[in-house]
Amino acid sequence: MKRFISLNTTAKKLLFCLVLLVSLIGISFFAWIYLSTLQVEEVESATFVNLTNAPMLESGQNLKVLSWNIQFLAGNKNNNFFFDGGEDSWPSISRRQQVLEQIAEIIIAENPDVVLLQEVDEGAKRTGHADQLAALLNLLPKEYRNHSSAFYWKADFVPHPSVMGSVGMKLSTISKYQITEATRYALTSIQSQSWIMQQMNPKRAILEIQLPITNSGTLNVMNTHLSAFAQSDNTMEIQVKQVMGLITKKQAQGHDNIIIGGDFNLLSSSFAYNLLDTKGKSYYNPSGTELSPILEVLGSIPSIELINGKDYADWFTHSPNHISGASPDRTIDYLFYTNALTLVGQKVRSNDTLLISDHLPVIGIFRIP
Amino acid sequence: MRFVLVVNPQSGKKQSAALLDTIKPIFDSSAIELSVITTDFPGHARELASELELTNYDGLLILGGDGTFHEVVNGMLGRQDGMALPIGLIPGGSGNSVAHDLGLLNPIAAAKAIVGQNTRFIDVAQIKMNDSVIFSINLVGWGLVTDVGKRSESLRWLGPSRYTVASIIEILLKNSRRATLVVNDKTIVGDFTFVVACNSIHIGKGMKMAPLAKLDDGLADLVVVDANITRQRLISVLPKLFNGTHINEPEVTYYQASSFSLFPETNDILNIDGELIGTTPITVKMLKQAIKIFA
Repeated sequence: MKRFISLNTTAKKLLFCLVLLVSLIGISFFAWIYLSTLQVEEVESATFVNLTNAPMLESGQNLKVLSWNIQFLAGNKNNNFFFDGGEDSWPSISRRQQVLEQIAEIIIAENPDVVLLQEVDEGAKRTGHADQLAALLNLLPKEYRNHSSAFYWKADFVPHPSVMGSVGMKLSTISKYQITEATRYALTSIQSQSWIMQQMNPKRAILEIQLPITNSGTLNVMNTHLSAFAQSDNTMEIQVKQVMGLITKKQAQGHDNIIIGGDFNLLSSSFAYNLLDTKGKSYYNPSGTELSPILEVLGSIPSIELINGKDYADWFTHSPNHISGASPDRTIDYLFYTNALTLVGQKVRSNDTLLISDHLPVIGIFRIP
Repeated sequence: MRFVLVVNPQSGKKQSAALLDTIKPIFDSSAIELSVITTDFPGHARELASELELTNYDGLLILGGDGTFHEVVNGMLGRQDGMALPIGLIPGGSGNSVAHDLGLLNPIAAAKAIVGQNTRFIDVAQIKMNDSVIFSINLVGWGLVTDVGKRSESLRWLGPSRYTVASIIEILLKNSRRATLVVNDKTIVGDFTFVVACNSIHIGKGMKMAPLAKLDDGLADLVVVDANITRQRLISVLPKLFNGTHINEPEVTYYQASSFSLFPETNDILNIDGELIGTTPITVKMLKQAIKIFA
């Protein structure tokens, strides 16, 4: 009897130690994830840099805005990376340098006043831990040294076989004009993902910069990249609602001049949806675009008329990555703007940008009131 | 030839008296007369350098660390008569950053360099605050570096390990601060983990905070760590301070500038030459080759 009790006590001690050990491992694991990934507030100030004596926007002037998802300088070889379901290896350093120089050439040739870039890597293993924005700024004229960035994917180590290292990707906005505020707004994560997956995956955001207009208020320029592959739940609907909520709030605060551009990962019409093959359609909502709340209120570049018009192919902004040698077949990158701004011109530059990124630059010219 | 030697008995491991016995024969053998003054209180070295009659001396020597050197330089540059003697450093502190840069960490070697009377000019950082000016010979730090200093004061009961414990606590807390940093032709408004401006390569006990720094180039070397760094990365980057490779990390930006300004949203104390003194906002101007030292 005594021996039985003694064994029982030993078993209890062992069980206690085992539970304690498992608990400690569990706590350490969650603590590691928390400490090694991007932790952000819903709204937080972003860092911005101004060149000394940077000019201010003038009322009545034209402003050219270029938005471009530069695909972390991978170059558009119809790369099918792991997040698209493929097995392609990451771009080489020489390839990245070549693409960087091509992007700089396009920006210099277009001479935009504001550049909105998505998928800009910094500190990522896949791109040699380089700061791609800093490298790009070195190739651009000095007037572009006003800029702000916000990370939307950052983790010290992602234990995915195709990553196995750090990730760092950001939204970057470059301006010829003086910036007075920069703010990062968090967008919802993919609803169906676990907390662990949400920490390891991109944390979508809007980067807003405020440009003062001499004696006449401000221009608020927002840069974003909405979730991809999120049709399994209502993530896209929520993110669009958050975008519109922010714009409505800004307008209520008296900021009438607003432009938001970027990679929205959404089609804008059923016409555009029906142009895609079966695989292409699987990424989008068959019952209608989630962009509707934006399209009902804001002007769009490309406009819906152009996207649905006879020359619709001229306004495609993205090439699919799952088909070798594919050409652009959809429009998912946009510039949206409030009606306080007058549209002067719009285009998608495709003649010499097809091989630079799987997205094409969208360009709009606006008159500042 | 006559030198006045300011000895700080509280420096480092409080072995100044023993060190003095070691180096004094070096001066005696070169027929150099030493007038030894021992400091009695914090700020005494500054007072001595500021008020001592120096006319009959050929140099002002220090047996102490960075803190004592800081005091002497501030006293000397604040003298009413404008008199400035060459300064000799005999390392005896817990941090001997400038001596480290000069390759004179050994007190005997330092004493021999002084006897050899070779001199050189080095820069001094002039830090303008609200209504005062402080001179720095080593570093001006803000952010995490001051947090660690403050925290370690409340952990004195832990002894020398308080710095390690304080560093771990502050890294886990990682209080970033928003500030405007004006450097070269840029104005950076952002959240920072810390900003350290160095005149010397080394800080503290041999950390190569600013591996590209030169003592006489008229430039401050700024090491800026933004708030985007994760705690895990911070823990992995900090050991690289000992060999200077931290400046290659993506979260670290390195500037060299003849002047800079820092305007935090909330003003805070600074770490100047290892001491928690002064307050932001600051405008720093490097005074090129402002003091002469024996080296």
